Amino acid sequence: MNTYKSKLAALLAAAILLVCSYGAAAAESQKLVSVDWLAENLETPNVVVLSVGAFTQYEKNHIPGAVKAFGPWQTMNDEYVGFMMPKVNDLVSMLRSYGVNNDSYVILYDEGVTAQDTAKSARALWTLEALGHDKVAILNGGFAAWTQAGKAVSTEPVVAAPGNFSGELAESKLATKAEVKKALKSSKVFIVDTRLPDEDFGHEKKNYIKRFGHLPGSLLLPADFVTIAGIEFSPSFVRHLEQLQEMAKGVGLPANKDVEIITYSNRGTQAALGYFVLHDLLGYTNVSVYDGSMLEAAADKSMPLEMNKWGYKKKM
Amino acid sequence: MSRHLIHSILVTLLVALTGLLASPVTAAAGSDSLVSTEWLGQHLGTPGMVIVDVRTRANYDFGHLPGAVSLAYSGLEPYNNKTRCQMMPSPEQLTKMLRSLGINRSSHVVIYDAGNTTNDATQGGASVWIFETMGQKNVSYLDGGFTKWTFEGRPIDKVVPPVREGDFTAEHDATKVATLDDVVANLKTKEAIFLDVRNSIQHFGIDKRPDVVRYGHIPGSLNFPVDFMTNAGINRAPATIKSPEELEAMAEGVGLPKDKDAKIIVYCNSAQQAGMGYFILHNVMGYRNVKTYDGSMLEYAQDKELPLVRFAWGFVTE
Repeated sequence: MNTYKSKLAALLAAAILLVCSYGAAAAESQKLVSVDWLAENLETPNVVVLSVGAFTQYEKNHIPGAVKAFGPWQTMNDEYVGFMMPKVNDLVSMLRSYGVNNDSYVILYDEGVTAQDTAKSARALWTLEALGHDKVAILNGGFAAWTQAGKAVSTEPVVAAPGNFSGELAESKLATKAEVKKALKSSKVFIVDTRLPDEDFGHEKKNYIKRFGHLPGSLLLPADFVTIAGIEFSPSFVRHLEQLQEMAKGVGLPANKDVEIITYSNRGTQAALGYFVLHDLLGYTNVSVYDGSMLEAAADKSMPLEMNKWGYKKKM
Repeated sequence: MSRHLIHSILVTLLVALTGLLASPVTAAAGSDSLVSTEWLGQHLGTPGMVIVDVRTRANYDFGHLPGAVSLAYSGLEPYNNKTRCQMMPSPEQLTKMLRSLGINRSSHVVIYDAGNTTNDATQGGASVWIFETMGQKNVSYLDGGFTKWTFEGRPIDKVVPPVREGDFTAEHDATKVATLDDVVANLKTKEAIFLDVRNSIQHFGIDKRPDVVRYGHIPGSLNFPVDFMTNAGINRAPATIKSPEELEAMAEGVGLPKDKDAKIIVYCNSAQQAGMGYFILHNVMGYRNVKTYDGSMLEYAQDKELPLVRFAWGFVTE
């Protein structure tokens, strides 16, 4: 009875906190938790906090109890293409070493300064979801939000008790090159480029990307647009839900949440942030990440690329 | 047989003549609107040519093309207290300015800028638009500007040439300028295409210039960032204009019609990038009905009643 009361009180407090911290909290849910929620729940059994940012940051200081979870979350595949999902067995043992159990509620956090930081958490979240683990969330605003809110930090490294995590790859979460090639011929699949507009148009590219341009007909929803981080602002809070909804519509995605969507970027990290927003926040049910992304696609001459045009033109 | 020959000669002549007529407007006045450093190097000192340096006066004093006069771009789009944004000067002011530089109605004006970044190129491009709007018929733009000129080891000096007052008289050509009223009217009539030449992040309403008071773009605008119009970019200079083929491909790629009679209103934040857009579309690509919205977003965003779209690509909302 007593525990029931205290649980009720905690719930009520959480609800009030959610309402009060509207500025940052609008898009928050089970998949995006606030600094206040996490501060309240650091001791909650089953909550596992993983720091996926740079390990130098972790060693300086971190959220009390957080485990250094530097990865690798992305690595070379059998074809020696970099930045792909590691082998499932490797991921499982990595997650176990972080103390992740099958019933863990995994909270991921990053430096929280730029949208690229948030994308690191999103990539880890996508990885967990792709392995069938849905109880996972991102800390909104990451470590920057945590420290700006004046929450306690720790310098003590955490040694996690090995977890019992087990997982299998859900193929529907990961798009391969062959699948993307097929999808390019379909008018029903929405391919979403989450890189910057200049890269989508083919005016700029990263040095490690072999060719300019975008996958023909892809829509353009830059990952950098989905958080409020900018040249002069941090933390990288995820934008309000209404703004994200407007964006999805504004870049040409349909209202029907069951359409098939494939996100891609340069190397699958920003693509995961696109996935997180579309799948976990906006509720699109059929979203996958093209793991190889432009790193793989541009290196393969048989993959068509378009430049000097906006990708969204085709969907008009 | 000989009749056939005459016929084919006639046809060839006719084709050539049509080609001449169809080429961009300024070509008819005797020179190209886009000139190369090589061409200018061979034509330095041509009587009737006035080379105008639109970089800052300090840059000009440090070294400039031989014979060039200085007209810093900031003087061509001064802050206007009435509209609270940068606007081109009045015809009277411009007449005075250009006469003092020795510009005649008959002069061939060659404009150059720093040419290092696209932002540099917008100063020269917008200057072409202002000169033409004020009735100067024969204006060229130096491709790649001062950067390309000096990269190639061409001569510069510090000599300020002696100037004899010119007879230039500004005649404002309203067909090249859109006012706020024109823009508001076009929101309803949709006769002209709104072309936003700011960067895509501003177009989408994620970012804005601090002095522009609201985010977003005019409903239905297409987005053709000026940055895409030159070869400059991250670690790339000088800002030479992209090839005609690339420009045509991009124009189509951003959704502009192939019909060169299409009506287009170009805008940006302050008209500097839009002036460059005008120059590219009108002088380089041959679109005939292009206007620059002089007040641009600095003016438009001030009126809270006027619609702006955020978190969408203009092309998609259209």
